[in-house]
Amino acid sequence: MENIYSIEKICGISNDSTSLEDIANDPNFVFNNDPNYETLVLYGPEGQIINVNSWIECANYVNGGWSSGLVETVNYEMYYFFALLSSTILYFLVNKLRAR
Amino acid sequence: MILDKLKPSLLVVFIITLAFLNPIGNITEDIENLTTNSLSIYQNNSCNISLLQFLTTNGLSENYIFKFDGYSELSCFGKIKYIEPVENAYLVFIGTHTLINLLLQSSLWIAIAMMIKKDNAIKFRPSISIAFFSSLIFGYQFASEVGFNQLSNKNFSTEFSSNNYLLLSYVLTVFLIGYASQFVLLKRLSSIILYFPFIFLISGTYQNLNVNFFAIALVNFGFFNLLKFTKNKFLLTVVYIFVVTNWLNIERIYYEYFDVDKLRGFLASSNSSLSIFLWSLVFYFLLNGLFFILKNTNINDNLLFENFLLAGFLVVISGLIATASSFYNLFIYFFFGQNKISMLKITSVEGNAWRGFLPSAESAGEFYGLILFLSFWFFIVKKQNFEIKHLIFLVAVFYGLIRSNNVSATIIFLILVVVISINYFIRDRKNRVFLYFFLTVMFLISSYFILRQNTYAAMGHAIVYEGWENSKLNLLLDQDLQTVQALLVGRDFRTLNNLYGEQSYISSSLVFITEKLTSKNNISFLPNPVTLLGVVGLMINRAEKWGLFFASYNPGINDALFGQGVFNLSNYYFDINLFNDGLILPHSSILSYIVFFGAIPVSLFLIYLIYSIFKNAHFNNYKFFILLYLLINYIKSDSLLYLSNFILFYYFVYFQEKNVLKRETK
Repeated sequence: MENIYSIEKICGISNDSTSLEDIANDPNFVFNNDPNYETLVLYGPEGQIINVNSWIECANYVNGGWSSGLVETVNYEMYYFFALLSSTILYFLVNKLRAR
Repeated sequence: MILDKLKPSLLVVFIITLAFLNPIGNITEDIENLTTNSLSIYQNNSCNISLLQFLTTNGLSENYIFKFDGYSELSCFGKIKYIEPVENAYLVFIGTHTLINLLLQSSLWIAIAMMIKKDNAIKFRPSISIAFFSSLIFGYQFASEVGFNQLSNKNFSTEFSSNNYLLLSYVLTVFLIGYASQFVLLKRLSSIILYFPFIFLISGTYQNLNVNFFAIALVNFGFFNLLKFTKNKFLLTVVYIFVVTNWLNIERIYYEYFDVDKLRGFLASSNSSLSIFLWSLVFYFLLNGLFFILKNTNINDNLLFENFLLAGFLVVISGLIATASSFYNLFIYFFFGQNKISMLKITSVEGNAWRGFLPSAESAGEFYGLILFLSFWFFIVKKQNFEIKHLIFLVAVFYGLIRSNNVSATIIFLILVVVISINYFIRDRKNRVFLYFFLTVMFLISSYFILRQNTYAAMGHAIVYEGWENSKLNLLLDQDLQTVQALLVGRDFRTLNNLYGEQSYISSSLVFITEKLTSKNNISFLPNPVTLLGVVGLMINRAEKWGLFFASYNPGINDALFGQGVFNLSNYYFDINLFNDGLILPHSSILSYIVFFGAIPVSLFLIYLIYSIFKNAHFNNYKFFILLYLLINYIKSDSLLYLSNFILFYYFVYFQEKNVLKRETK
């Protein structure tokens, strides 16, 4: 079963009806370059890097666990830290001003 | 009025519910029902399907076993992390995150604490610097527990750098928790401890962490206690510094990860020097914090009793609700900060015991027995008003006691009730003496009939026998194994000790008690202490467990006398490496504390405690009976390893003193 949500998020939407299962079962399958498709860089589970030149090639790799890297590198803990820090500072400042 | 008090808690519950049902980043299209065919959709869309989406599509079925997965990105909080098929069911892992857990769970518990009435006069103001120093202690502790936190935090790193946002956020969040708990609890300082029975209900252990909310609050209060540094505090602190320095200098095998299981939040998961040092600090400030609160408490026994009764009732009811489904069970675990998830089944397990909501059936039985004793004292002896609600509470607590199958707690409770009843309700002194005499004779006769199948000598050997039997004798060669079996059957422990006592897999404590038992220097007319221990162990069904303890406890002389470090069982557990199935505790709080503090401090404390208990012994002092009840139970249970029981014990030790009794009567 395909990981449609991640595929669409990383590779975009396409009408290509080629079955990813067929590709996976065919060791000799060759991906054709799609000149209209902007080359994407994908990152493998162990840090490997590959350029994909068609939607179906991208979909095949994403289905196999590769990602655009951008999704993974968002540091939510940093956002959490700065959001909490600014709220804390704001709270103490407001309290101090009120006390005056 | 009640609704007004409940408002903050309800608001936080609403926020937590929203956090778990958050739709941000979800798949926009409809998802299929979970079946074998659609399973891969769920598996391939890790953290893209919210819990709400899952529930609206699939509902709550018996086939779904919900679990939390804390090893997730922060954005995965409240999303379906993974689904794993198991026999006839699916394990549904819901993503959580340490930081969000800290924030949400603390907010809820602080909001609940706000329901307590404020004091008329406020003596202390919250301190930012105290919250800051407390957060540093817990921050370093978080970094020191490498094995535990690496397993449960995806971005865990021990690096103290400006890029380690998990650690920075953790320290900041603990700072806010500390400050908020000071802010709320200092306004309720004179009565807050009277609500401690609810710690049996709201344990305060954070999901995914080895930290407890109440420990954070108490450490903050510990600093307040030290603001005024008296001579006694100075002396005790100097002694403690020596003790901790000794712990840090012990040569030991380092274990990065010890699975603290149901003792989460109150036991170290590592025995690194940093971890030992930080747990020592936590213990020091925690004791000071408790002392600070108790010192500022206005005693109100009736309120405390009412709280015990209500807490007992709620614990039983929550345990029953938790059996309704895996989903409720999991969220009760989250909201109440349980150390261990409630039992999912209403049926009993091993030993016909049902622990329900609490982490151990044994401590559950002790808790319910204590509440029944208090009820007897207040309703029957002190003739306090008995209302219908009390009857409902008592039925639930009685049910809890029966289901916990804690025979010893029940027997001790009954003995106390009989003794007090005779004293209070039989006016004639002669009749009283006759009854006490009659009951003592009955007790001795029944003990004789229970134990008559064994000789005194055979009973006295029980612990040493179990110790050798449970040692790693399978490492011996076949020929040796036969010799050992023959020596064991013949109870020839002296030869056994001489032949194999120096093997690395035979513990030093087992060798020690074997030598004590078989020593030629024993004084013939005095009972051997090891023999006495064996007889007691056999009588209370602890011979095997204590034998196992001695088979595993392998200290050097220094750590046997002065301990291995507070709240640290790593070396006890792994040095001989006897245990394969889960967490097996010593089955005696006294033995556990000997591992922590060593034989000398524990003996001194016990002497002080027994002396002070009997110094304050009086039929009008119910705390005397409670301390007896607790002390006898703790000899055979691990309850003092839970924070709730630790606070309970500390409370009654502190308030047993006669001057306190006088204060109370005034």
